[in-house]
Amino acid sequence: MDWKKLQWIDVRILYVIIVVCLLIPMFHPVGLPVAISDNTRLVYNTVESVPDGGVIWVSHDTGPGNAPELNPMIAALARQAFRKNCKIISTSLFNQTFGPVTTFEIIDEVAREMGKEYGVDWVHLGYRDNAWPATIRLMIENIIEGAINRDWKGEPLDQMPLMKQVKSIKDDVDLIFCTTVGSPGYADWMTYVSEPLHIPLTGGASLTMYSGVQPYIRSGQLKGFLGGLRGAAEYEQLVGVAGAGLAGMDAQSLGHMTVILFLVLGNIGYFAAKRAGKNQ
Amino acid sequence: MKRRLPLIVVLVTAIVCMALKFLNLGERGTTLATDLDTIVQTSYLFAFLFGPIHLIRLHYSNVQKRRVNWAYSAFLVGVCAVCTVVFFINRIEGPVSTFIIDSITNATDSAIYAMLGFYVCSAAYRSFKLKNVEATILLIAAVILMLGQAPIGDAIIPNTSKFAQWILDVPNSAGMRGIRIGASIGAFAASIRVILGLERSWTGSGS
Repeated sequence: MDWKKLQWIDVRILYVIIVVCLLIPMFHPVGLPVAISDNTRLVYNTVESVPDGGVIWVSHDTGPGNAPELNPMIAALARQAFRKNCKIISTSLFNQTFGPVTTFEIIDEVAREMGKEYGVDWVHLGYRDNAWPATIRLMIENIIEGAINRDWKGEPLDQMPLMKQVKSIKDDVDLIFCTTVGSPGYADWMTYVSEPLHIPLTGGASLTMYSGVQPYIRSGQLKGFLGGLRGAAEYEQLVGVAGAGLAGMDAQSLGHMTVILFLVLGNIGYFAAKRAGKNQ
Repeated sequence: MKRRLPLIVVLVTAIVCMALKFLNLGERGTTLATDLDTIVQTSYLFAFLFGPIHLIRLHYSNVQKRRVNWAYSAFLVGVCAVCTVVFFINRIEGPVSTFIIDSITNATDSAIYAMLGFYVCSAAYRSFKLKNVEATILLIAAVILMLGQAPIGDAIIPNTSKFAQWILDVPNSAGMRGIRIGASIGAFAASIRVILGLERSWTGSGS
């Protein structure tokens, strides 16, 4: 066998194998156990430490590309928050079209399942023009004024019972939970809201962003942070409801194993070619 | 004056913002800060108006002068026109608008991002070779992280996820801190140059 060829396998074969490996677990889930990291446990405990009936500000700052990693985090958080009778005020500041719609759909589904009412137990402010930090700074003092008295569907906020109770971020919000794929994201929430106002900040990031988050977890500025689909799966386990995060773990396992297998094959080919070159 | 006025605006605004941040100016300071925030919000709304106008002008000119790839520009202008009409008539929450957003915009965005995954796999296969010590360290770290991010890693080698977490916590944090401190110092220096008028390329007059 010509081992050298192993480093030049047609990438289309690699693509097909990856597609197959991602599809198989959808039909035959293996359900490998997921070990829970300290970071995820810290996120769970931080949400758990919010007093019953407290207010959690959720900012699902994502676009369609990273949504499969981050959506399960919001669903699990909504479940944990509503279980404690916490109130949720949500925004979605990264993407004008996808973010607000998907945030509403995810929280609405959990809220209906748990018998929570829109306007009383949660409110969705949606996308606000990308004027960081101006918009949020206005909401720090007066949410209704900063949001121009409208929720994401244009309904007046001052008519909603929850907004009569929650006037400003600085006085009434107990925790900020944000997901991050870029800016606006955790860095903006940390700089303009959580640090100056001493409001705990936690959430989750896509795995590509996660390496940048680590220093802030270690410094204590972030109270843990979920990393990618794996973080979402761990969080779902702690909340006790299997969702899209855990469902995606088998696909991730097989996908990663395929890449590692091809790395090994590529290197065998590389060394075979090197040895053949020396022998000539 | 046409060039000097923007520089004066930047200098005065920067001094006011720094004073608001670092000095306690009482009730007047708070009111001024809120007013500045409102000005920022309002000017962003103008950007939403000017952005599309400039985009259309640029691409319309591409089509008119039959520049390279003008067909793409024609497509963009056409899509902009259709979407503008649809969103005005159908409103943002209407069924046609929802179809455009959910089934075209979001689906395309997701598909492009998903394709990146295939390219990353292909690039890793082609380039991750044990050529020298640095490449070897990179390859080993990548394999440990890939195993650690999926449950199969712990199933094959126990505690792989903990080791992957250590890589993220310690060497990665150290590297990221260095990068961030360097980038922040660079951004600070660049801001000072803009505030003092030493960097003027943004006015269209060059440094």
